[in-house]
Amino acid sequence: MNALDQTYPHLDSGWRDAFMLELRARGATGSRIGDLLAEADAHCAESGEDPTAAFGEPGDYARAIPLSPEESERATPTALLWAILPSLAGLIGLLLTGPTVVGWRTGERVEIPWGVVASCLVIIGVVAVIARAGARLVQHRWLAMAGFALAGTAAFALGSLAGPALHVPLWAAGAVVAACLITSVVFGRGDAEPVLDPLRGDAQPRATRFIAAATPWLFVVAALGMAILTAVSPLP
Amino acid sequence: MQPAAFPTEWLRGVLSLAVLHIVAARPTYGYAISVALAEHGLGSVKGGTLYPLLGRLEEAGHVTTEWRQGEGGPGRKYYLVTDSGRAALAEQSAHWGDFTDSVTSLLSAHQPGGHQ
Repeated sequence: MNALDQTYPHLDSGWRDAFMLELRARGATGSRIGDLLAEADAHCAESGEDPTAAFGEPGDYARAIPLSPEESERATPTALLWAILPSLAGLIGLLLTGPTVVGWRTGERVEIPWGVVASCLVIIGVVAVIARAGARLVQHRWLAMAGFALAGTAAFALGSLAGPALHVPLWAAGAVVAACLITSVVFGRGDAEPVLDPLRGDAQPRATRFIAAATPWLFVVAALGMAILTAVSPLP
Repeated sequence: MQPAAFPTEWLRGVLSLAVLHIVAARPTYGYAISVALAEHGLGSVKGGTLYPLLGRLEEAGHVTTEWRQGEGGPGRKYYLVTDSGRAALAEQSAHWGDFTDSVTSLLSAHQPGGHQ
């Protein structure tokens, strides 16, 4: 049983999660979401209805809620793109870490394989789709998940393409890796802000909060691991 | 005998005014508002209709909200009318009165099948 089940015991967890997802996609703040959940929970407690009987489908209800202009602004394609860019930078920094460490060890120009270039292109394509489709992805989330799984498989398959695509000086590769990783930490926020209950304060499970706080460091930690692995393994 | 439910399109036009009136009588919360509407013969208004409407009244500045701890049960979000809400209520009530007068006068003046 997670913390949200305890805070909102009258809301079925499937309904609640779908409602939260749609609100997040529309840009609702954590305190708005907590306020709406608490109100829905109180209504169900007093009326004895289940959330679907009282409010209808969670997505429809979430879309009927009026949000402030500031909240709606957070769900525009441009805002979404800015929200994803730090992760994109982190991922590209991570992909370039291996080849850069190899270049550092051999003392030659850094060789970027076709696989890395292809993976970067797939990732940029996925980001472009997210930025264009925005909140619609949540409404068609199974389709979106299938699409992302396909893109992930493509990136993985293409990632094994050997053969050098380009050669760059070590300092340039190092600078790009550093810039990407720094961007991912400095501008990356974890998840959207936690759900704030109007009477009880923070309503998210502790694990969710930890993950949210740790997320911006994900790529740096992964890149460090990659760098160490590449440094100690035999040169290709 | 229980009268037949009013057509939803009639309710849609007047629900906001009815809710504002209930909130203006005394600060109250969503479920109590739905009970009051039902008691006044307006049928059972679902939460999915009522809360977005309350949200629009809040966005418009006609009501403010305040959470209060319930006795033993969950907290309740109370809605309180603002000065602008009172002004809107007075104006819309008068307007609604004119509307119903017009409809009533039309329905009594024009006998079905006849001309004035």
